[in-house]
Amino acid sequence: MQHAAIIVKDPQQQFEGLRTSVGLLLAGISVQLFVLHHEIENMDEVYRKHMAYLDENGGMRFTNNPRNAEKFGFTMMTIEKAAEKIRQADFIIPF
Amino acid sequence: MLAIMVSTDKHLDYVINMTSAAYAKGKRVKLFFTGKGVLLTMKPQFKKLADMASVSICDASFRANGLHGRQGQVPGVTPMNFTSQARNVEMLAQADRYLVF
Amino acid sequence: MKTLHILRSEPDETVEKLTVVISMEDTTSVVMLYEDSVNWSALVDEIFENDRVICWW
Repeated sequence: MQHAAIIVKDPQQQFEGLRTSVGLLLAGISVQLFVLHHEIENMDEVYRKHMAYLDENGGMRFTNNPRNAEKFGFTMMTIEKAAEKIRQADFIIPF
Repeated sequence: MLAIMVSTDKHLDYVINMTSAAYAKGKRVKLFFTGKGVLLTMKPQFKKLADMASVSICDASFRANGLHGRQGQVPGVTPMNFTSQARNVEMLAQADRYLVF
Repeated sequence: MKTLHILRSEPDETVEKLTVVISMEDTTSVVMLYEDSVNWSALVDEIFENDRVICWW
């Protein structure tokens, strides 16, 4: 199975990164989503649904922002640890 | 095949330069415009890209960025070029190299 | 593995940290698109010569 790392640093692209993650999962590619620095700005119904789909289908969500961990269930991770995971990916897609 | 996902509206010059250079070397180029990248479809220079590459545009992003009803104003494409994220994934799977601008 | 890092803008601390770790054990090269003197034709060659290409912010 191929493995993709989606890295979201631009807060304006938080949903776009999640949407792409779901698209990759649907195609049978394993996905790790990394939301860096910023809290999720617009946690609306659509974002929640996509996030739930990601969780239900084996996608993983990481962040270095504690608020994303506390409020939205992301797994906390330092940039350095995230980079080690990202290094293993076949596709690295920054947003 | 070189695939390029364009998810911002910041780097049209990079997309044109990269596509032109790859096209000149006989490479097949596929472009997928999504997120704010769809705003670039309204630029006059967009036609250049449609002439050199296979272009797909995320229909959901096109609508979400206030362009609903303006599909006919995008130079060099037909309704067939408006697609979903599935096209992006297909492109990624087929590509020899995949870039993001 | 040969990895090519393409920088769309000047790298911030995040990009520097990520590229350092990702480049461990790899042969890496870096192209800065924000500098004026990009040789796009040569860049196409580099993209296909490398095993992996990452386009950073």
